[in-house]
Amino acid sequence: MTVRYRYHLHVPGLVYVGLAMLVGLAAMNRQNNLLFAVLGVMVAGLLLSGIVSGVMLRRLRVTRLLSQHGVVGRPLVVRYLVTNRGRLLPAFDVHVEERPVEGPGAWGRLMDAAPAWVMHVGPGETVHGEAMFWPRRRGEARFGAIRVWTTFPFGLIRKSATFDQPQHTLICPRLYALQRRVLDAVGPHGLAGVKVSPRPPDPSGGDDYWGMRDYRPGDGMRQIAWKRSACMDTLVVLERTTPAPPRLRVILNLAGPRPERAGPDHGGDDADLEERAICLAASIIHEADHRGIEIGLTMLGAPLPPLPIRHSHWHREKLMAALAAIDLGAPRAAPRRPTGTERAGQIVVHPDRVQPELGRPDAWHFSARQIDSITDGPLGWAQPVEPVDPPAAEPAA
Amino acid sequence: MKLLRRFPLVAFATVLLGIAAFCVAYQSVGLLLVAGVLAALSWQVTEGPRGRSLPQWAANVLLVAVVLNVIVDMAQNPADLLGALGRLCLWLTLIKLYQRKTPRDHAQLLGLSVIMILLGAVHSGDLLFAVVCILYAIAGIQAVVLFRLYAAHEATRRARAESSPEGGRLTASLEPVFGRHLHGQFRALVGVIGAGGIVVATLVFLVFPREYGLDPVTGIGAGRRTGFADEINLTGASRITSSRVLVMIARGYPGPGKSGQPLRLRGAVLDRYEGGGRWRVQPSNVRWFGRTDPPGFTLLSDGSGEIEGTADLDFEVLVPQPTIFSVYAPVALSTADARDFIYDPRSQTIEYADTDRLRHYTVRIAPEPTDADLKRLVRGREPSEPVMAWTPPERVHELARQWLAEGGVPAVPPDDPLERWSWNLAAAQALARPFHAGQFEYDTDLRDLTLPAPDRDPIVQFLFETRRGHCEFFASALAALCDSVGIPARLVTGYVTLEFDPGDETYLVRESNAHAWVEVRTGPYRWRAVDPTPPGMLRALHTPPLSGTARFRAWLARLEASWRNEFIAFDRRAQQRVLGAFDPRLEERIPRAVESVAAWMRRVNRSFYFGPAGYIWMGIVATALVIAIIAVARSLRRGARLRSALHLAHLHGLEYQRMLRQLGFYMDMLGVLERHGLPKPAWQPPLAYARRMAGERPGPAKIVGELTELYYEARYGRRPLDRESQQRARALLEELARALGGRVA
Repeated sequence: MTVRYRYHLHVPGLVYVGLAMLVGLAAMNRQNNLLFAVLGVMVAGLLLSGIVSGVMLRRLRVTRLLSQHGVVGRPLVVRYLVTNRGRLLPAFDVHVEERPVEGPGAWGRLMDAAPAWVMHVGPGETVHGEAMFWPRRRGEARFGAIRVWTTFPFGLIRKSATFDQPQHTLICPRLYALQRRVLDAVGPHGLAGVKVSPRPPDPSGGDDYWGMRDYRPGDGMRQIAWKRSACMDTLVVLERTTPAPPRLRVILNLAGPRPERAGPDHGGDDADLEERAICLAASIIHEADHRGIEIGLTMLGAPLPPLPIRHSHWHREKLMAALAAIDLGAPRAAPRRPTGTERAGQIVVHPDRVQPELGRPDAWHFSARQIDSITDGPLGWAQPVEPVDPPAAEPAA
Repeated sequence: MKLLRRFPLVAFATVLLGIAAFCVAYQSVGLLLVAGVLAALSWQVTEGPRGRSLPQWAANVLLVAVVLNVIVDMAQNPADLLGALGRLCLWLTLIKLYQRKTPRDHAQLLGLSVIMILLGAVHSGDLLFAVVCILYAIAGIQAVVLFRLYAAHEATRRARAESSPEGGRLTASLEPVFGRHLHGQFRALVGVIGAGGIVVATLVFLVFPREYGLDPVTGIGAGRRTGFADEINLTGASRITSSRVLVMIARGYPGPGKSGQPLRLRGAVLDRYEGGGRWRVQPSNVRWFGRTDPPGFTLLSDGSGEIEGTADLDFEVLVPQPTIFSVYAPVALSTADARDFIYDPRSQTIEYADTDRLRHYTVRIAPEPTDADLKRLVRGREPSEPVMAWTPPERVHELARQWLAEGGVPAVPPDDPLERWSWNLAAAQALARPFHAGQFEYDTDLRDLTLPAPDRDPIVQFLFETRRGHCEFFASALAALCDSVGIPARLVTGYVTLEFDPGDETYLVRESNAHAWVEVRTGPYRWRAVDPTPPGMLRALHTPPLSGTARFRAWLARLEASWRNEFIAFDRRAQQRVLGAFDPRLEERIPRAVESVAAWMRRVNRSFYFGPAGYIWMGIVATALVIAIIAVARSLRRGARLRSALHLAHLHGLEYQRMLRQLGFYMDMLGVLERHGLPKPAWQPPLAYARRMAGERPGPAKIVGELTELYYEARYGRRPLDRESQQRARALLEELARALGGRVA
């Protein structure tokens, strides 16, 4: 890790130096020993301010602990491990801030930041400071160098140390609280599998016997085959058949703007509508994942192959990362209707006017314009939830 | 968190100490009471359970009132500009104490307190002020260090709230992050900083150039104030000082004992009355210029014989004075270093004639000198007769005759010379008796006294009208009465003290012990002191208070004297002495270096005939020199970096210089790229780097490519870049910086 140390010109320090020079002149002029003493104290303050802060920072090491993703509208807490490698001198008043990064994906373009502050790190100690970031836009946020600075003890000289630590994180689209009725309405029409449940299916499975296997941590007591285990002198558990969970494919139509518009008051340009469509797709995925539905994602117009239908934390992260990484400025491919006979429900999200030909006949189509009517507002915002009308989805068939 | 909560209290204490220091410096008890009470109340009002604060409009009104008041104050007393400024700071501080306080307000309060301390330091050198300043420094270090933490916490909290889209409503409160043993380590660090500060401040204090002969009272060479004066003007002095500042400490003289005889130190003999209340020292042409010869004594007599029954009186001088004081009659003088002095045999007074400050001296005295001894001491000169350049009114004669008659002394002096000397003493004592009898009021404060008309003499006014005055009036009146009946009498000014410390067997001499009395001639060479001041009043004025705290106050006085003597009066000689204690070579080298620089500056200034402005010019030139040195250092550093980054070490001579001049743009380009996360590996040739850039960052790569071409042209083209190419390189560099969103360093 490259570390650069630097002293900065500081307005209070310059004012202080000016004042000290004035006191020195007055002391010389009047030959007043009390003023000489005051001058001595001022010079001592200046020297100590530079020495103490310099020695402090020389022994500090800072490491960024960055979460893998953030979400637009939700605070992203970035933690810093601040280690004081000194054996005697504690560090006080340590400010930690991110240096600006240039180019696409610079974190400054995606979010606002409040720096971290550590009041004290004892010798040989490590503490966690945390900075609060507020993502405004989705995308990949790149971080570059971390700057640590302090003006301790007197605020006269500012000393900084810059640690190069390039990292990046994904900022996922803004999530909206999808109304429960939306997926309830979609379920009976086309979702395969068992009934849609707000909870993930019971991991213990169904009732039919499937086989036996070795015990793994996390298996329930009731799953253990005690007699068999006694015979084999090792723990084995019963495996039962698992019911197929409901399946859903979300198709996001990013094939580009259509010539005809929904109306003069469409409420935003194409990019804005597409962003809202991305948010709506992310919100549907989020809600579906929460209900235990297996989800897949297809993006029309984007150079991304369809993502298979799965249900896991990592799969959800993968879908969100795909949505976060969409580059609306990239050239689009022509929309192509998904082929295949996948046994899954289908929801097609359009930026603007619905294009029924892009989904199966039994697919549900939503427009980004409906986002306010089928959601209870953004997640993570302390806004009052107002009662809304039943979902106004537009069944194609 | 407890540490941060402590800050407002520590800051408040610091501000209170600042206010107290200013009031102590200006010795304003009233201001201290008013401001102190108001400041103390502000804590209860603003930080108490109700937590009220002064509204902004009220603060503005008060501010206007304070500023107007200070303007009027300055107009009425323009000499006390700094005092008015300090009072303005004080009232501003009080207003701010009653307002709601953000970190900015706390900073302003601390700044105002620093200004008050500075103004106090300009004005005062009292020990009490220094003690308050030390307390202020102790609290101030903690306050400033805590302020850094407090302000940083507030700023981070505010930044976090401002960055939040909901204005901080969604943000959790910021809890300070800290490790173990916070309080202990904070205290230890503040202690270390304080100790380091003391060391550095002491060093700066010791080595900063000083002048010779600083006064312990004012810190300046001029303007001594000791209570003693070698002339008297009865129309000028309206109030005798009551200052308890120690002037001298005398050893070797027996204590006053039960008789209560005071130590009477003669300083000047005023034997010329010029009328109008003015007494002077009569010019003398028989003065003897001498120089002490340590460690022995230098005789004041003509050395024709031994004087027996002498005693040595040792003096420690705390406030420098131009006079060497002695009890009657001085015989010899000794000092630690050889010093010049002037001895006047007629008045038997010694004047200090050296420029360096005299800290100790010893006077050998003859308490009971014989006539032969006195003849030796006056070096064979006839004592000068007092000159009274006035004609006393007839009623002064009448009064003298009346008092002589009342005292049973004949008004006409006897013809026999021996009887005449005795008559002189008896008559003078008879004339002094009415003053002792309470017919005249002794008062040190005569500010309410109406000055006499120009044609009226203050002595006459004192004798016949006011009958009120201090020692100078009493002595002047007795001298005038003596003169009216033909008795040679002269005024003596000096000190009279009864403050004897039996533990140390020393007399303490203070400013308030300054006194004037009369000497009457009682022999061919002999003079006797006759003091018309009522003895009771003399004891009351010059006897130390007999309270239980007297000893403590005496100790405090010595401490104050040491403070003034060692710190306030720390001059170049003391500086040399202290530096010499560390290293004897420093004692000479540092002052010599400072003196040689000063002499050189004076010589240069004289040679250019600039006058006082020459020093300003020299300051400008010195500043320009410093800037030039910094520029050269930066240039050398840049050259070294160029040599290292562009592998120019094998080049020499003109070619090397040309490369240094012309290839700077490429190194600047590498700097810009490195700052934006695109560093060029040292092993990679410029062309390969430019190609790699074309693959990674097509935008700036085009500019990098052009700059690389220019680099190759300058580096290997065997000809210098023309002006256009150089300008082009500069423009490309700026374009690159703009494209990457930065700037050229």
